[in-house]
Parts: sequence; structure tokens; C-alpha cells
Amino acid sequence: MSESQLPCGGALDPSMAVTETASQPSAAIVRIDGVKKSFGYKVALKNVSFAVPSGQICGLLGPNGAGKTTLFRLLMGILKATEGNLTIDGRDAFDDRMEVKRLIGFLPDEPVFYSYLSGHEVLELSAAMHGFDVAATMKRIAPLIAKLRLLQDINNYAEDYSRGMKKKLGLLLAMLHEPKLLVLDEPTNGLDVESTHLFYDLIFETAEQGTTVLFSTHLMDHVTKLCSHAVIINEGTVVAKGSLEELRSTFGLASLEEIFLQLTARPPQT
Amino acid sequence: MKSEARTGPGFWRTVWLLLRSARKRAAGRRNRQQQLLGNRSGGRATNWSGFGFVAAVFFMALINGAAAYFVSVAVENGQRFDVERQGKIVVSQNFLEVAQQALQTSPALTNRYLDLQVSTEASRIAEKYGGKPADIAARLREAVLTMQKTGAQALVTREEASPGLTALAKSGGVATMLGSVALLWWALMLVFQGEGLELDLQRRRHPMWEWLFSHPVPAGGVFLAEMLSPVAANPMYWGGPLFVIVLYWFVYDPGLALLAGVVVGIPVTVAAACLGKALEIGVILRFSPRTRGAMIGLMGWLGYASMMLFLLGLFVVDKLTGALAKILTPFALLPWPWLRLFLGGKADGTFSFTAGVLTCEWAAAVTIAAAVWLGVWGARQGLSGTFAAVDAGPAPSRIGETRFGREPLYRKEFLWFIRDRSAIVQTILIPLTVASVQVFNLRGVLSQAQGAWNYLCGTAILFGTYFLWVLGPKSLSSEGSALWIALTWPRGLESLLKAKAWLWSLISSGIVALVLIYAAFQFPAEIWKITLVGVGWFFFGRSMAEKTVTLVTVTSPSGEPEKIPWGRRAAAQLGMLTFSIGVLTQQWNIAVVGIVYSYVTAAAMWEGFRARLPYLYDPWSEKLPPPPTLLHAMVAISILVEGGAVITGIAMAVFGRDNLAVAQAIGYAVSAVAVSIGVAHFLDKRGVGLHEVWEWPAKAGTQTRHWWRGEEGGFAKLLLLLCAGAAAGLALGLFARGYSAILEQLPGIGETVRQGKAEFLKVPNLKISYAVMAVVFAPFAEEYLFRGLLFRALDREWGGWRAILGSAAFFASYHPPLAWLPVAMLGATNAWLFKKSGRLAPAVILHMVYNAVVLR
Repeated sequence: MSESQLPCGGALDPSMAVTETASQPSAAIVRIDGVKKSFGYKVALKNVSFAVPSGQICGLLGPNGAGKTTLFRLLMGILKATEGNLTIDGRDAFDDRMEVKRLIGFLPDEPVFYSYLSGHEVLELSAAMHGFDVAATMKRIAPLIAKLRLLQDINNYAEDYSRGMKKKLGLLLAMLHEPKLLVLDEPTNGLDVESTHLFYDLIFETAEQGTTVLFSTHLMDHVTKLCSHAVIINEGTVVAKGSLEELRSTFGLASLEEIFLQLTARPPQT
Repeated sequence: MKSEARTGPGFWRTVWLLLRSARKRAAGRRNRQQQLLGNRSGGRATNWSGFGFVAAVFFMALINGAAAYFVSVAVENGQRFDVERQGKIVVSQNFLEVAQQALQTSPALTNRYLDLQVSTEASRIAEKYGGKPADIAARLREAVLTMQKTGAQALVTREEASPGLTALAKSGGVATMLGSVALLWWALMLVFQGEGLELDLQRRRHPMWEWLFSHPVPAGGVFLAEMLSPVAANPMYWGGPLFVIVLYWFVYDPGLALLAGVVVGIPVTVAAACLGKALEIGVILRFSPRTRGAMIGLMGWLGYASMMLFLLGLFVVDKLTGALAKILTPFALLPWPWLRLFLGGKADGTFSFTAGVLTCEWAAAVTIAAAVWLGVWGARQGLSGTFAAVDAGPAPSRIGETRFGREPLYRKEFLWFIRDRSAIVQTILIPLTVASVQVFNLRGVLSQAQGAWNYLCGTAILFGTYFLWVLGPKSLSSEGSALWIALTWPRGLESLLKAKAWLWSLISSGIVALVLIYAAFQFPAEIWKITLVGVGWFFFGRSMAEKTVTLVTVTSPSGEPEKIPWGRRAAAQLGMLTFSIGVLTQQWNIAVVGIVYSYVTAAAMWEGFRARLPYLYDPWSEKLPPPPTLLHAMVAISILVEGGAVITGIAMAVFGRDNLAVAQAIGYAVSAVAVSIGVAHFLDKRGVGLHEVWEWPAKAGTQTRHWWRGEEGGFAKLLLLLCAGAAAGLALGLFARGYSAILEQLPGIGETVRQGKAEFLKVPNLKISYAVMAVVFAPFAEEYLFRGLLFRALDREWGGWRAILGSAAFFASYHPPLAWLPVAMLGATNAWLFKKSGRLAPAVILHMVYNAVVLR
């Protein structure tokens, strides 16, 4: 895929983001402070602290098993941190989880849907469960459905969708209530090239309208093009964080991929 | 070396590898459950699962043995039927002798005696095999006459007519048919047992097949291992060989029978398990996801229902086989060689052990091979199956009508109900079957139900309760893996589950209503009482549904549902017996107590559930709800009451029967003091100080504090509040006296009240003893437990007037029914006073003054 195909390429000046965060440190919508999470004897997150500035797109990078999904589940209030604080817009992610859910749109790694509802009905149900006027909400998101090219299948059972269509429906669900923060777990994992572009278009547009986006991915070039900030975690700890510009200057390396490989390099196991 | 690495494992090695991994998975699962249990309780809990497993194995062996007995009885009854089809009648040895004697002596004398014998024999036959005694008597008389006239043997003894299994080959069509039907029935039960009694309808996806087939392994080996794993997991299959042992025992000597258990029992059981799994594989490969759940559910239901039929059929085995024989007689013309072949019976009527073993082993081998072949064939057809064409999505006409209105959750459940084919199986068929089984277990009650409306109503209540008990824990089944969507809504799972509880209570109420309508039809005179039971059920069923919903478990990503702790299951039943006994014995006060108790238990279970619910996906963070909980309060109150009774008994033994009043006062006082100190100590150890129970904390963050809640001017304020409490106590006490005076004037009740009062005055020292107990000890202990602990917890749970009325009703339920109204008023006033004043002391004073006024 050539870089010019990514519509957002270079549109966001990374240096701008740096000054913004530097001048308004309080504008962070997500604050993660000293978070540890363990499942029995297994420690998934050791000590994670970072903040995501409001209105920015932040990439969460890390090798497999670094704890990305655990972190997202902590943000959604599905898990409770063993130690430390997670706040979203000043609210505790676990204790105020009902309020927090109005603020976050969440797309899981592998979305699964009710086997007995069509895509349209899942959206309607979710709109109703958010307390919205169903007809008005459906009218509002109709352009989005068309944009994601789901119009043809929206009235079929969601369970019969392909993986990519399920991801698209999941993204629609996440954006349905116009959240302040979008949390996307590997949103383009398993999508074809065209859909990936559709996704990033949409994410970029939403961010321009003021939504903060936190997403995990393995594709470095996408992060470089799309994000203003990045957090790299490895084995349950943050190994690097900041705006892309900051990361580059700190590590003296030109590409994010180099930084990532250097930071997450593990000694060979014998 | 190289070539070995390139060729995959062979057939048997694949089977062995997969079975070993299945065993490891099971062990790992047990281990994890143990760890979680230890994590939650701090290592203090005992695990009873080993004991439960042994009990399950024993129970399943019992069912298999019962099935074998059933087969032999079926054959014997078939033989009897065959004899009767030839125009003969099967009678007892005794009757035959009487009849033969009667023929030899003079007819005139004997006829009257014979008549008596005939009617006795006829009623005996009718009771055992069904039918009208009068008809049977007429036939008997005719048979005796025939014998008299022609000398033909029209009467046969049971022993002669039904020689049993050993004479199977010589038996008629009905005997061989019934025997074979019973045998096939047993096979059906085994085939549809599946992985166990967990009726898991969400198993829509084929398990790990795609992954397994990405290896160079023979598909047949994979499917054989898949088919063998239920044998290892389900104790039902372990009992399978016992069926063979018992049946062979009837025909051969014990040593051979035990041998048959090994050489016939094991292969046949394995074949049955393989066949069941093959059918399941067929369903998964052939049907759409929405149909699969229903099909597999139906298969599980068939297995369960046929198993229960064996167990319950034991009690009515003769009537059941008799009825079967009548229905199936036309089919007796067909050949039914199955049982004979199974036992190795030859055409000449003799039995050959070798023939039996070889036949069974051959049949088992063919079944297993066919099952494996079916799996392999299915895999070759493509694992995705052909279901895509089967259903193409919701009918277009329905789209657009769907509006998720004010309560979208009900709408969602409705759509689940009409679209998902497993919904009916899961919400109606399975609970209904299990509930019917329970009703059958209580058929002693049911048989009396013909005579009395209250028994019918009691049966309806038991039926409805069991229905909910089965349905509630499955509440999240319709969510399946899509539960994550609910977790993105700003409403939480609580509202989802409350919605389900409401729906379940409606469904169960509908079913109970059907029984009650039948009862009203049968006993039109009692219609208003039956209506009252219906109203009672409506409320009771609601609380019952709320309780059972708290038993809900989520299916883990690997597809295995978590087990529900036994204690929690039992707690969900609390109040049920009280309510149904109240209805059965027509004591309305007991029924009302049952409803109140059930509601408070529901609140207690929800308190614990609400503490667990946020950790549904995070069991490692799960903690017990912080003390003092509602459950603590309920247990403490139970100990107070029971302990009081026990100590009274001891005190009576010490002071003699004449000092009942003193003994009661001492018993209650000791119990009250001990429980109060014990509970305070218990809570103190868990970080809850006495003052935290004695005081009602002002709501944090509320600016508008009432003047009496502040710290300033403490003593004067307290004094004022105590005076207010005393004044209210005086008012309530006077009201109670007036209430009792009115009761004394009422016809019917008045007599009882006056009698009670007279008895009360007869007991020596009663007044002074009661005064000490009721004025000095009771107010402290009762306010501490009922207001300080129970009302506080209920207020957290229900809030507002519901908590005040609920705790007052619970308080009243520990008093005599005639005192309910004033006691409940006292309870409500004290709860309100406690919450408003923030202190328990005024409530204690109120209680003291009230008791003093009432007793004076």
C-alpha cells in the first residue's frame, strides 16, 4: 500500500500536538496512573502510567501479550485494576463505569453479535439502551452505514456477517452515541485494504471533530500517518510514550518501527 | 528421523493424544476453580466437588440398574399380555387353587364364596395393572364357567404365564416387542446423554475442529477422540455396563454376567456415546447456527427425559408397561429380535453367551465405525456446512416494524423468543420437564390433590418454583458471547437481569395460573381462596425469579459454564417451603411469612450478587460484599430466635415445668445478650465498629443537615430525641391496646384472643418475667438486629418506603399473627426514626415504652 493512499497522511502536524499538550496538560481525557493488574499469580500489567490528550489520536503499540487488551478492558470497567488509577474525563473507570460508558465507544478485538438480531436491530437496540430516540439516531447514523458500505447487509442477521463486516458494525456501535473517546482494539486487524482505508478515514474525521481516539495496532506506518501520539508497552510496562516528535527526538531514531524494535527487543531464550 | 517428522501421528496415536489433552483440560479446569475458590475465601472454603462426583456416579449406576430391571419387567408383562391375548387370564396362585377347589365341590355352596374371591382378585389385578375391577371380575367369572364347562385351562398363574427373560425366545410377539422397546429406550437414553446434564444451548460453533484439521492427522482419529471424550466426562456412561451385568444376570450365572459387563457393557456404552456425538456433529455441520442450539437442546432434553422416565417409571412399572403393551400391540406383528440378539438367544430358545457377546461387539463396532465415518464424511463436505442457504436472514417484511421502545430489553427477548429456535426449548420445554419430574416425585401430594383444592394449589406452587429454579440460572444464555455489547451500555447488567427476572416470573405465573384455573374449575366453591393463592404466587414468583437470576453464570470463552455453588442454589429455595406449606395447610399467616421471607432473601441474594456482578469477567478481583450484609442480619436473627428456644428448653429442665415463664424470660435474655455480643464481636473483627451499627451515617456531601444530626449540643438533643421516642412508644402502645380491645369484640377472633389472655394470666410469675424480658432485653437486641443491621442493609438494597415496610413486615413475621398490625407499625416507625435521627437510642426507648404499655 502506498503512503499517498492514506488520506490522512501528513495532515496532522506532530509538532502542533506537542505544543498543545505542553501548554494544556490538564486536557488529558484518559489518565492512567501506576496501574497494575494481575490474574491470580499471572501479572498482566506491572506498572502502567500515561495520559491521552484530548482530541488526539493515540496509538497503543506493543508486541503480542504486552497487555493491550487487558488495558482496554480496564478502561471499559470490565476488569478492575489491582492497583493504581484509571480515569476518563476525571471519572474512575471501574467505580463510575456506568457514566464512563457514555463517554467511551468500544470496539473489541473480535466483536460477536446476537444471533437473532439483524445489524439494523442491533444498532436500534443499542441506541435505545443508551436512552436515545431510536428513529432519530438511526437517521443520524444512516450516512455512516452507507459510508461503511453496510447498507446491503444491514437487515441480515449480524451473526452471518463476515469478519470485516462485523468489525464495521462494531465500529458503528462504538460511534453510535457520539462518544468523547473511541477505544478501538486492533480495529483494522483482518480488514481488507479498502476497508482499512474506510476505517482510518472515519477515525480521522471523528478526531477532527474533537473525539479522542485510542487504538491498538501492529501496523507502524499507519501509526506514523494517523497518530499524533503513541504509547509503547512491553511485558506490562510502558517503555515509551509521548508525541511522535518527542519519541523521535528522545530515541534519536527516524522511524517508529526502529524505536519499537529497539524497545521491545528481548534476549533470546535458551 | 526426517520422514517421521513429516508424517503426522497415526490413527490411534491421534486418538490417544487428544484424549490425553482432554483429560489435562479437565484437570486444569478443576485446578483453576480450586484456586479461584481459595482466592475469594482466603483459603477457608471446603471443596465438596469430589463428594458430589461420587454421588453422581452412584446415582447414574442406579438409573442403569433400574433400566435393566425395567427391561425384565417389560418382558414379563409382555408375556402376561401374550397369554391374555390367547383368551386366558393371569391370576394369583391362591385364586387358581380356590377356583379349582370350587369346581370340585358343590356349585351352589361355593358360588357365594367364589364371588367374594373373584372380586378380591379383580381389584388386586386392577390396582396392579389398571382397568376397571367390575370388568375384570366379569371376565374372571366367565373364565371359571368355561373351566367348569369344558375343562379348558382358562386361568394361568403369573409364574406360569411370565417365566421371564430366560423364556424370551419362546415368548410371543408382545413380550419380545416390549423387551426390545425397553432396550432401545435405554440405548436412546445413553445416546443422548452428551457431555452431561448441562443443557448448553449455546454450543453453536463447532469446537476446535478447524484447528485440529490443520494438522496432518487422520480425521477419523479426531472424531473418534471427540466421541470418546463424553464417556470419560459423564458418569452416566460409567454406569452403562451395570445395565448389561444385571440383564445378563437374569439369564446366565453371575460370573458370566460380570464378564459380560466388561466385554459387552463397555463396547456398547462407548458405541452409544459415539452415536450421540455423531448426531451432534451432524447437527453442527448441517444446520444453521440458530437451529443448532435447538436441535442439540432437544437431544439433551430427550436424554434427560428418557432417563427420568426410567427412574420414575420404576414406581409404576406394571401399569406403564401395560399401557405400552396396549398401545403397541398392532406392532407386535413386526419382528422385534433386538433383546434376544442382545442376550445371545438362539432361535431354538436356548441362550449362548458367546453369541450374545459376539453380536453385541459386532453391533458396537459397526456403530462406532459408522459414527466415525459420518464425522469424516461431514468434514469432507466442508466444515462450514450448507446452512447458509437454509436461512437467509430475517424476513424482509419484519424489518421496520421492529421498534425498540421504552424498554428495549423486553423487545429483544421477544425477538429472541420468536426467532431463535432454541428459545422455546430453553425457556419452556426444559424447565417444564424438570418441574414435572419434581411434581411426580411429590405425587403422593398430587394424588390427594384430587380431593382438595389446597393440595392442587400447593402442587402448582412447587411446580412454578422448580420451573424458575431451572430457568433462572440460564438467564444469560440468550446473550451468549454477545454479552460484551451489554457491557458498552450505560445501564449495566443489573437492569438486564432484572428485566429477565420479570419475564421469567411472568412465564411461570402463566403456567401456575393454568393449574390454578383448573383448580378453580374443579372446586368452584373455593374460588376466592384460589384467587388469593394466585395473588400470593404473583408476588412470591417475582421474588423467586429474582433469587434464581442471581444464580446466573457466564459461559467462559472455552464454552464451559461455571458451576453454581450448592449453598447459593439452596438459598434460592428459602421461603418456598413456608409458602407452600402455608397453602397446603390453609394457614394464611404461614403463607404470608413465606412470601415476606422470600422477598428478604431475594434482597440478600441480590446484595451478594451485586457485589459479584462487576467481576463477572474478573473473578480474580472478586471480593465478598462488605459486612454487615443482609445475610449477616438474617442469620443473626435466626440464631436469636432458635437460640432463645433452645435455652428456654434447658432452663425449663433446670427450674422445672412450672417455671415456664421464668425459663422463657431467661432463655430469651441469654440468647439476646449472647447474639448481640457475638454479632458485635464478629463485625468488629471485620472492621465494623459498634457505633457504625448504632448510628446512621449522614449522607456524605449533603449540605442540608437537619439540626438534630449535628455534633453541637449533643446531650440536650439526644434527650429530646429520647423523649420523642418515648412519646411515640406511648402512642403506639395505646394504639396496640385499642387494637386488641377491638379484636376482642370481633366475633370468632374475640373468643381466641380472650382465651389466650386467660391462659396468659394463669401462668405464675408470667407478667413480671415477660416485663423483664420485653422491656429490658428485647428492645436492645431487637433494635440492634432488626433496625441496626437488617433495615440498614434493606435500605441500601431497596431504599425509601419499600425498605421501611419490608423490614417492618419481616419484624412482624416473628410475632403472632394477631399482633402483626401494631408490631409492623412499631417496626416501621422505628426504622423511620432510626434513619431520620441517625441514632438507634430513640428507637430502643420507643420499643421499651411500647412493650411496657402493652404488657401493663
